[in-house]
Amino acid sequence: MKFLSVFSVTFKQWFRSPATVFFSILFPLVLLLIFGFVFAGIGSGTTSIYIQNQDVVNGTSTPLSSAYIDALNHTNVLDISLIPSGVDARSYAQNLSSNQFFSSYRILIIPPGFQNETLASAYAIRLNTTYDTLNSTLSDFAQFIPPNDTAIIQAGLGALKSYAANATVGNVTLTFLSDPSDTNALIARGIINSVAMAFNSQLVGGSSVINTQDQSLNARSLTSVDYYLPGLIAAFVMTNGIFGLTNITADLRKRGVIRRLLSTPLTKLDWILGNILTQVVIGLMLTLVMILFAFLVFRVVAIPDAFTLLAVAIGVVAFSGLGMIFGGLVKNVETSSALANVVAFPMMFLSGSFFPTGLYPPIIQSISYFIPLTYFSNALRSTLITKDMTGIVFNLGILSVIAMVFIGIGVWAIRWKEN
Amino acid sequence: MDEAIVVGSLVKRYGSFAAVDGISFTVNKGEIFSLLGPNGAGKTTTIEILECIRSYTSGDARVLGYDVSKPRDAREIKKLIGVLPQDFSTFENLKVGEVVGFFAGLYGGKHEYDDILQSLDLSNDRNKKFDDLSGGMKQKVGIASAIVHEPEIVFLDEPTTGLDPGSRREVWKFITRLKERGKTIFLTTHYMEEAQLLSDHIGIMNRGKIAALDTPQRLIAQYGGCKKVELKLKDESLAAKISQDFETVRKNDKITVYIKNTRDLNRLMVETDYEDIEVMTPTLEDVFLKVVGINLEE
Repeated sequence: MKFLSVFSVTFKQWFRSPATVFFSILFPLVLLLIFGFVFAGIGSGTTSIYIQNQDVVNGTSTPLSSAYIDALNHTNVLDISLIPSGVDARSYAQNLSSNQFFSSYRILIIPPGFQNETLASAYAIRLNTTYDTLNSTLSDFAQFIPPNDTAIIQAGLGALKSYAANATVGNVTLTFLSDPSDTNALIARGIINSVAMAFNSQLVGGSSVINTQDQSLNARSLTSVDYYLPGLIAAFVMTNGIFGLTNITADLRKRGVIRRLLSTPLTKLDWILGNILTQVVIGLMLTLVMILFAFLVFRVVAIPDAFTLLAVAIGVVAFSGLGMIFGGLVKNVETSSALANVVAFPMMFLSGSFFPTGLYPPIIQSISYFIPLTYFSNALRSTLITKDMTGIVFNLGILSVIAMVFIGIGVWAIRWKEN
Repeated sequence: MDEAIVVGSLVKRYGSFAAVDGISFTVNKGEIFSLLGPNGAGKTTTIEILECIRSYTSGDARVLGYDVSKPRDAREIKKLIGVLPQDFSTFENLKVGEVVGFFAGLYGGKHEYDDILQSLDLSNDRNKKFDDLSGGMKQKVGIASAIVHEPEIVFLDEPTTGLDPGSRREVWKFITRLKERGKTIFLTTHYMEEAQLLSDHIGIMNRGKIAALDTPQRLIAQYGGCKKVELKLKDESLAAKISQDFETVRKNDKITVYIKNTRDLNRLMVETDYEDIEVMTPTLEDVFLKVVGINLEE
C-alpha cells in the first residue's frame, strides 16, 4: 500500500501549488468560456445590418419594400438599423460604427422603384405563364373542347398576348455592401437572398414544394458547446497526464528526490501507481468541474455516468504512460517539457477535440485515426453527450489498448536504478 | 558477524574510466566510518553502490551480509539502511511533519518520530513548508527522514554542509547519540575536524582508489608525524636543504615541515635561520594534504 503514501504526497504537492492548480483546472475553464463565446455563437446570436430604403413615395416607404424589410426582421437573425433615404448610406453607417472597436458593418440598399418594377415584372411573368398554360391546354385537349369555346379561348389568348407584349420583365437589384473579410456578411447575404427568393416565388403565384425540417440526430438537440466540452475535457486530461508526469519525474530526478526514493523500499510499481492515482483524481476533478461550469454558464446538460469515470481513468493511464515515457527518456525538465509540447499540441488539433475532423482535408482526417486523443475525445463525447453505446465501447476499447501499450513502455522507460 | 559492510576489490567502470578502481574496506557494526576524498574521487559512487541504487562492474559488496548486486538482497538492505544524500531535497510543498511521515510510511509499520524531531530541534517547525526552510533546516529534515525507521546503518553524505557552526555541533551530538544506540554510520564529509572528531575509522579515496585507511590517530601518526613546524625562512635557499632532510609542503612564503621525533624538532629549530616559527600538532587535514596533495576544505 506504499502507493497510497505516494498518492498522498504527490496530490498534496499538486494541490498546494497555485500555478499548477491554475493550469490544471482553471485554465481549462477559461478556455471553455472562450470557446463557448467565440466559436459557439453565444451572445446576441444576431448579425447587425443597416438598411437604406430608397423606395419612398411622398416620404413614406412603399408597401412592398416595407414588407420586404419586415420579412428580413422576422427571420430573427438580422439586427436591422434603418438609414434615412436621403443620406449617403456608406458615410452614415461608418459614422455610427466608428465608436465600436474592430466592428464591421453591412449595408443593404433597396433601390427607388423597387415596388413598381417588382410588381410590373411579376405581372408580366404571370401574363406569359397564363398565356403558355392556356395555349398548351388548347393544343393538348382541342378534340374535347367545343368549336365555339375554342374560338373564344383563342380570342382571349390574342388579348393576353397583346397585354404581355406591353408588359416588360425587368430585374430589380438590391445592393449589399460589406467588408470581404467579414464572415458575418455571409450570413446576412444568405438571409437577404432567401427572403428575396421567397418574395419572387410568392409574387408570381408559386408555392413551396420542397421544404426542410430540422431534426436532431440525438434524443435531445445539441449546441456547439456540447461538442467542445468533451473535447476540451479530453485535451486537458491529456495535457495534465503528459505534462504532470513528465515534469514531476524530470524535476524530482533533477533535484535528487528520485535518487533518495531509490534507497528506500519503495518500488517502481508503487511510485507509478501512486502518481497515476493522483492524475486520475485530478482528471476526475477537472471533468466534474468542467461539466458543472458548462451547465452553469452554457446550460449544457452533460451527465457523467460510470463510463465517463472509466473513460477518464483509462485516458489518464494512457497519457500518464506517455508522460512517463518522456520523463524516463529525457533527463532534464526543459527538454522533456518541449518534447511533451511537440506531441501534445498537434494532437489537440488533429484529434477533432476542438473542431470536427469532417472539416479537415482528407489527409488530415486519415491522420486523426492514428491520434490517441481522437478515441479519448470520442469516448467522452459518446458517454457524456450522445449516450451512444456503440461509440462508447468502440472508443474505450481502442483507448484501453493504447493505454496498455503506453503504460508498458512507460514502466520500462522509468529508470529505478542509476547506471 | 561484526562486519556491517564488507567491500572487496570493488570496480565501477564507465567505458574506460574507472570511477571506483578496486577498493576494499570493512566497516564494523556500531562504528562511525568516514570516507574522505576530493570531488570525483569515487565516494558518492561507492555509497550509491552500497545503497543498492547503482550497479557495479566487478568485485564484491555486502551490507549486513546481503549481496548488493542481488535484487532480493537489495530489497532487504533497503529496509535496514537510512540515507541522507548530498543537498537533501524532497516534495517542496509538504510540511516538515509530512515529509518525515512520508518516509516513515515507506518502511511499513508505525514509526513514531516526535522524539527525532525534538532531538533535531524541529518540533516547532513541523507545520512549516519544506520550501520555506533554510538550507540547514532542510538538511535536518533529511537526517530525520533517514533515521525515522530506526535503520541499522545510516549513510550520511555530507550531513553538515551548509549548516552554521552551532547547528553543525548539534548534528555531531546527534550522530554520536546514534552511535551510542548501536547504529553503524557511514559518513562522508568535507570537514576534516568533523571526520577526526567523530570517526572510528577513516578511508581516504583518491582517483577511485583507497589511498589511506585506518583510525584517525594512526593515520595522523603515520602521515603527520609527531609535530609539524611552519617556518618563514630568512633565506629561501635553505628550503631545498630542509626538504632533503624532512617531509615538507610549500604554502605561499611558508614551508611546513613534518617532524617524526623531538630530537629532529630540536635540530631544526637550532640549525635553521628563520624569521617566524610555529610548532603544531598534526591533524587529519595534514594527512589528507599529504595523501591526496590538495586541501579539501579550500
